[in-house]
Amino acid sequence: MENNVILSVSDVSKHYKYYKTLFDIKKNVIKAVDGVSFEVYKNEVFAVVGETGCGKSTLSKLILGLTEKTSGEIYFKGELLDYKNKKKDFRKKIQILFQDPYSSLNPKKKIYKIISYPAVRNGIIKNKKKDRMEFALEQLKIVGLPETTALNYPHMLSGGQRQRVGIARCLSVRPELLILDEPVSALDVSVSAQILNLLMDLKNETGMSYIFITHDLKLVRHIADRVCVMYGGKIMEIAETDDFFKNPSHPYSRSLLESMSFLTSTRRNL
Amino acid sequence: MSLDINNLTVELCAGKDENECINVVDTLFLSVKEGEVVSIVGESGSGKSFLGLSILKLNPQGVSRIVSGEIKIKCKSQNIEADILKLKPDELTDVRGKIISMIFQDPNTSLNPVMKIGEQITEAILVHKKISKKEAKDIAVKYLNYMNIDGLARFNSYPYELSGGMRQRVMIAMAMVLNPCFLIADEPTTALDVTTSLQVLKLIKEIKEQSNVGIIFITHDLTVARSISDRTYVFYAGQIMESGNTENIINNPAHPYTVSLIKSIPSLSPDYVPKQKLFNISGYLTKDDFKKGKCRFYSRCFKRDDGCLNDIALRSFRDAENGGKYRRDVRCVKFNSDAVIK
Ligand SMILES: Nc1ncnc2c1ncn2[C@@H]1O[C@H](COP(=O)(O)OP(=O)(O)OP(=O)(O)O)[C@@H](O)[C@H]1O
Ligand SMILES: Nc1ncnc2c1ncn2[C@@H]1O[C@H](COP(=O)(O)OP(=O)(O)O)[C@@H](O)[C@H]1O
Ligand code: SF4
Ligand SMILES: [Mg+2]
Ligand SMILES: [Mg+2]
Repeated sequence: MENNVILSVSDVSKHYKYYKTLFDIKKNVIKAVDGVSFEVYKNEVFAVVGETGCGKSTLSKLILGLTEKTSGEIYFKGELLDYKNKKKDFRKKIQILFQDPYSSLNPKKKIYKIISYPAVRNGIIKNKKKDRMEFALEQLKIVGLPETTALNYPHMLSGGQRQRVGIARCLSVRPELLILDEPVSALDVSVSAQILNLLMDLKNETGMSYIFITHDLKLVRHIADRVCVMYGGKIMEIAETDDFFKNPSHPYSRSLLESMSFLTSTRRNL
Repeated sequence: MSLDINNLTVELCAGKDENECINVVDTLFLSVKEGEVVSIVGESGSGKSFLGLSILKLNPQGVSRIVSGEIKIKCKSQNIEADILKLKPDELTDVRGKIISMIFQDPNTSLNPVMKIGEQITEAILVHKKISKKEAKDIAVKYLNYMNIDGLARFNSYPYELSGGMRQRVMIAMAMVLNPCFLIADEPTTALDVTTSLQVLKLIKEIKEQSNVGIIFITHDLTVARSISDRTYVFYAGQIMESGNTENIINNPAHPYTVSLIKSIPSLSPDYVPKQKLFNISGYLTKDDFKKGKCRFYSRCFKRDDGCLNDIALRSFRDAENGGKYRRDVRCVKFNSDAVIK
C-alpha cells in the first residue's frame, strides 16, 4: 500500500485569527481545519463531504500551498510538499478545478491563451502564438470541444463549455492529483452528466487521482472510491464508499445520509 | 381557491435582432389548487423565471410582452376572483404580495441590506394592511418565530448578520406574513447547501400543511421537485413537455426529455449503477430551440425524425397507476399512451 499513496496529509491545521468587531481587543480564532490526517491513493477518487463552512475549501488551499499551514505536514509521493522547492515541480503535479466556471476564467483572454498559459509558465511549450495554438487545439480535443472554441472569449461559451475549458487548462500540465471543488454544482443536470463522464474517462486514461469536494452525496456515490466526512474543521469518518452508504459509522454521517435519502427515495419521508 | 393559467404566451424580443421574437412562454396551461404544491422543473434558460414573473405581470418591460392567455385566480379568504391580466394597476398591486407572493433564488437581491429585517417585514405588512405599527411588529415577530428564527432577538438584525439559510427564511416569512393564497418560489434552495436547503424545504412543506396556500415551486432539480410536490410540470424552452403526478412521472417518464433528465441524474433512475456512464443529453439549450416549426427539444432528442419538424401539441393521457386517477400531458409525437404508461 505504501507506495500506492500519492498524497499524505498529517495532522494539518489552519486557524484563522481575526477581529470580530472594530472594537475587539483580542483576536478571535476560527479553526477552519483542525488536526486533519488522511491519505489519497493513486488513481482513486477521494471525496470530501460536509456542509458549508466545514473547511473543505480551506483544506484544498492548504494542499495547494495557497495559504500557510498553522501546523502539520503534507507529503506528495513520500516527499515533503514544499512549493518553494523548485526542483520538484509540485505546482505542476497538483492542480485544482473550481466550482464556478463563470468567474474562474479571465474574461479578457481568448480560450487558446487561457488553456496554454500554465504550459507556458511551466516551460512545457514556448510562448509563441503558433505553439500555444497547437497545444490548445490538442487539449480542446481531449475535453471534447470543437477547434473553433480556441478563438472564443469565455463569455461566448455556456457553463458546461467553460467548465471543459477549465478542465483542459488543469490537464495541460499533466497533473497527477486534481482537486475538484464542487466541479458541477453550478451546472444543469444534463451538462453535469457530461462533465462527470468526462472526468471519469480522463481519470481512467491518465491514472490521475482526484480529491472531489462536494456537498452532494448523489455525486459521491456515483464517482468516489472513498469518502471523508468533515464537520467543523475535523474529520468525522473516512470510509469506502459502499460501506459509507450501507453502514455509516459516525452519527453525523448518518444525519447527512438521512438528508440524502429524503432527496432520493419517496417524498413522503420529509 | 385556485389559480388557473390558460394558454399563456409571453413574447421576448431581445438579442442581436430586435425584430426576432421568441415565445419565451408558449401556450402554457397550469393550475394550482388549495394546499397543493406543483413544481416547474427545467434547466437554466428554459424560461422558468420568466413564467414566474409573468404570473404577476412582473416580466421585464420593454423586451417582453404578454401576448395572450388568462391567469384566473380565486381566493376566498381575500374575497377575490379575477383574471390577473385584466386587472387595473392598483388592483394588481394588491394582488402582488397580498394574494400571490413570491420568493427568489437570491435573498440578497430582495432584502434591503441597510434595513433591519424586522422592520422590512413590518413595512411589508403596513403597505397592505391598515393596522398600527405595534400590531404589525407583533405579526412580524410571530412569523419570524414560525420560520425558526427567534423573532424578538433577531428583529434588529441586518441581513448581512444572518447566514444564507436564515436570510432565505426571512424571505419566506415576508412572503407569508400577509397570508397569501398562493406562493411562487423561484429556486429558493439553489444557492444553499444540502443541510440548509433541507431546512428550507421542510419549512415550505410545513407551510403547505398548515396554511392551505397553493405553491408553485420552480426548480432545476428533479430530486427537489420529487421531495416536495404533488404534481410536476417539466418545462423546456418555454413549453410544458410533460406534466402530471410527480411520482408517476419519475417512475414512468413519457417524454424523451424527461427520460433523458432522469437518466442523467446519478441514483434517480431505478436501474442506476454507480460509476457507470451517465446518460448524455447531447448539446445544450439555446435560443434557437425556442423557434417555431419544430419540436423544441428536437436538437437534443434521441428519438427525433422528420415527423418532429412541426409545432408539437400537448396531448392528454391517463396514468395507469392509481386506478387511472391522474392525468398526464405529453408534448411528443412519438408518444402513444400504451408505450410507456402501463
Ligand atoms: N480568509 C479567511 N479568514 C477568516 N476565516 C476564514 C477565511 N477563509 C475561510 N474562513 C472560515 O473558515 C471556515 C471554513 O471555510 P471553507 O471555505 O473552508 O468552507 P467550505 O467547507 O469550503 O464551505 P463551502 O461548502 O461553503 O464552500 C469557515 O468558517 C470560514 O468562514
Ligand atoms: N431581461 C431580459 N432581457 C432579455 N432576455 C432575457 C431577460 N431575462 C431573461 N432573458 C432570456 O430569456 C430566457 C429565459 O430566461 P429565464 O426565464 O431567466 O430562464 P430560467 O429561469 O429558466 O433559467 C433566456 O434565454 C434568457 O437569456
Ligand atoms: S416530438 Fe420528436 S423531437 Fe420532440 S421529443 Fe418527441 S421524438 Fe423528440
Ligand atoms: Mg468551499
Ligand atoms: Mg431562473
